[in-house]
Amino acid sequence: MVGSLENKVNPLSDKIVNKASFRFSSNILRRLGEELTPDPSKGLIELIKNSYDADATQCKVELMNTNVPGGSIIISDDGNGMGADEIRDGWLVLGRSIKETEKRTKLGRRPVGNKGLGRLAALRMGADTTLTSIPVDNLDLEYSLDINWDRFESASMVDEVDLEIIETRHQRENEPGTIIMLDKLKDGLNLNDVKKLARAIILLADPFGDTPGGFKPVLKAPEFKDLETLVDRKYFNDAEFHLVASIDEQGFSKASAYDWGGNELFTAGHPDIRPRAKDKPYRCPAARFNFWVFLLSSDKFTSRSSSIGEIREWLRLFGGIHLYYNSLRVAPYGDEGNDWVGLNLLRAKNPEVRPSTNTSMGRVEVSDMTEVLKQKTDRDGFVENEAFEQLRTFTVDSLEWLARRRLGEAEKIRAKTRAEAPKKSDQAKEKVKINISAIEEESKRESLDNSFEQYTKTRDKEVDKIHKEVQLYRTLGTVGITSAVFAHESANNPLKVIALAIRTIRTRAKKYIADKYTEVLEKPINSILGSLDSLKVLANVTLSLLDYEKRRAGRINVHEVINEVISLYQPFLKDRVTTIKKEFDTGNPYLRGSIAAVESIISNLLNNSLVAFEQVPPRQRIIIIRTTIIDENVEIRVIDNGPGIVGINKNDIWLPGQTTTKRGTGLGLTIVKDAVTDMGGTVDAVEKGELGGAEIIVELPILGV
Amino acid sequence: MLESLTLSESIKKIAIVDDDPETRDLMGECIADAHMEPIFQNPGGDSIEQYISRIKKISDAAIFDHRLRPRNYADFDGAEAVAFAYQQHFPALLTTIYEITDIKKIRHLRRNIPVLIHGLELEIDIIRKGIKQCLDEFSNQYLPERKPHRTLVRITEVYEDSLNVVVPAWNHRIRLSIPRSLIPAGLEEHVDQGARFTAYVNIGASSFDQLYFEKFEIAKEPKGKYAKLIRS
Repeated sequence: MVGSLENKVNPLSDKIVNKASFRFSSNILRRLGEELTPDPSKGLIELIKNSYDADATQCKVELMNTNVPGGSIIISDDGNGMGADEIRDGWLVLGRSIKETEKRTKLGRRPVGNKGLGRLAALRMGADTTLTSIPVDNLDLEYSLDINWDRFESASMVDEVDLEIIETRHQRENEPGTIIMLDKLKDGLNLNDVKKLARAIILLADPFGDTPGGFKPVLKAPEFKDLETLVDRKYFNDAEFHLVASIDEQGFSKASAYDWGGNELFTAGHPDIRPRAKDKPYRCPAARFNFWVFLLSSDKFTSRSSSIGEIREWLRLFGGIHLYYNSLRVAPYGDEGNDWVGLNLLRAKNPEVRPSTNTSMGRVEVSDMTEVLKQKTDRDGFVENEAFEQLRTFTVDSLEWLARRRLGEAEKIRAKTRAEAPKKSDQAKEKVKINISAIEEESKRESLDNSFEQYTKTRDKEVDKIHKEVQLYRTLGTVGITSAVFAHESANNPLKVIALAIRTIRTRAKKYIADKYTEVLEKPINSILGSLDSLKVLANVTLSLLDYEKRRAGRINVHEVINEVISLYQPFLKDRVTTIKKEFDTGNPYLRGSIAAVESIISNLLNNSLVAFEQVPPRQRIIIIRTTIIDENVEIRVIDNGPGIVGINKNDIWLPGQTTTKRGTGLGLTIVKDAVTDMGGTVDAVEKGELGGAEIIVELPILGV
Repeated sequence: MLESLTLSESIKKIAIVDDDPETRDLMGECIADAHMEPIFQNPGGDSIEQYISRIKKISDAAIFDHRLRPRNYADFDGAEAVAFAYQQHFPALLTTIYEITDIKKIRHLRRNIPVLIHGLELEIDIIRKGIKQCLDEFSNQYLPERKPHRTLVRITEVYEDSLNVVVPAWNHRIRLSIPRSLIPAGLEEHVDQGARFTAYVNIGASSFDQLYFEKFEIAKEPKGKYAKLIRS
């Protein structure tokens, strides 16, 4: 474009008055740095990754008086260092994508090449930054650079501030490496920041791997020492199961599961792991997945060397599934609250054999030569492209396979226990009775006998209650299965016959009693046709809720799902003269989960309000659905003008079987709570809310708006 | 308006293919009321090709219920039979009582299913209108909602067997789920989140269930004077 413009300059009439180019306001540095990467630990991790790329074996991060503003952070390494050209053309250049993953460093590392934006955020943490570097190919030379960020603040353009790289020649050779000092920190680091930083540094270079790869970043802080001791403990031998799964270069997978003693329990090939697409390879780079499941119950731990408490704490700090990309960890996968493979969601399907993020630990190691997986600009995980989605699918499929195999085992044990339990219980009861009858003192014997009798009665009552509850779940499960299989069948044919018959009657009546039709038959025939429309909607509600794709985890737009549920419920709402008022916050909050989960939350809350309305005298029935985005959560409030929460403690409404209406199952709100908890959210209720009725508050973590 | 709609003299016999005897009888009466002859032919173990060739000889058009398998009435689904009949230029209509689930399953055939009638809305005028629409399409006269247009299709999510796509010319806000099999094998490598294809889509469709997609191609980079602006 520029070339063609120059060609058009006519030397007789035109002249170039000024050559121009884009320039950047100093504000851009703040925008790119702090605003894109607001988390200090994330920026510092980027500096440590630079050390890794420079073939460093040690990288030390020192915190000096950082608990208050004005302190310093020093990051030093023993890597290859940089010369003046490398500082000018590499370190100081921001935003360039270095795609040299295929070219390994001298130590055989694949550079984690980044765009330098995270680095910028870290460098700007202090008012001054000093870089000192000794290049490996000139050990008697030292290069240094001072950056005073205040100068950028007072300048209007980035290029107005000149930076000077100073070369100093020493008398003798020094060790190569780079030291970066962030001085006069703008903010202090609190204990939490330090803990977070310590965890991020310790996890960065895969401390759980068999071959740690010769890179060991350390943080000089007591918090780090504690974590280091803990991380070194590696409680893997206390895991109940160890899953090892992998994908080869062609995308085919295999897996094995071992018990806590290292004995192989099950093995699987690609068709077992991916039964629904047996011949299809995973379209993602080669990967290896290690996963340890811990059963934290006391009976499993009696023979182990470690205590449950220790392991629980260890899992709290390091649990979750971490992702290692070309040997370095990529945050936030496996961080607290980041359940990227949906472990907790899977657990909801079958808690018995599926671990949660609190009871398991895993790592996925990916070796990506061609950068098929792309890291986001803000260094917060990968772009969710197909390769990433396939990697996640492989991880989930491997977990599903383990769960299926364990379910088979659990089923066998359950059948056996079920058969033996009553027998054992009777035997135990008999034993107690014999022991009581052996007591010589009559009054004591009688008193004990009575107490035991009372105890067995209460216990039987409780067992009976649980039986009923199980029966209720089974019945509802059967209703669901029956609806799924036969709802269409049962609705289809009779409804179609009625519709056809009534339309035939209408055609014939119009033909044979033309003048009387309107007066005699039009109204009842139209009523039948109108009712058919309502029935059509009912059949569709069942089918829509059962839609398979809705149970698949993916990116869910919260407002979209709420709107869909409302439109699905429209006929019922109209029938029950209820008005819904939507008060959505601006933006489109989205989260990772299944549509079915969000739908079950909204549907059950609407059902709850509709049933509650039956208990109050006729009046205008209103339900407000309000969403508010609060930090990284969306708060959904369902507010009605029904009778409110009465006759039951507001904390008990979430318990299964607790209902104040005769027709209620008492499961709706339990399902809401379970679904919300699985998604990492919280529930709350107000007895008499804004409209005088119940107000249910659901808060769900979101990925973005 | 509908009352005045008449079919050409060529449509006299209509085959009714439904696994429910009562529905068949009533539809027969409905056809007879319109002075046409209902034809009932049990598919038995026929393949689609065999069955269409059989009814083509004795009828002028057909109405298929979609679900013919549950009661063991036929070895094929109504949608497959209608799509095959369309390619043979034999007018055939499809009825179904289900919406969401069935629509997703027959999306790949929708190009060749010109008329989908909800089971509760079956009546003679709609049948007549549907048959006329089939005949018109055979002579390349399309209703605006059925006319194919070459347009941009953007992939928003990629799943194992399906894709979520947006067709901006139809509605830039709605994500549609389409079977992945619609993309020809040769273009599969281009399937990615954010990838843009062109396809023939009936962008005049008034609802989601009418949409069809065919002839996918990679969307070419914009060319010409303002290409840079378009790309950015």
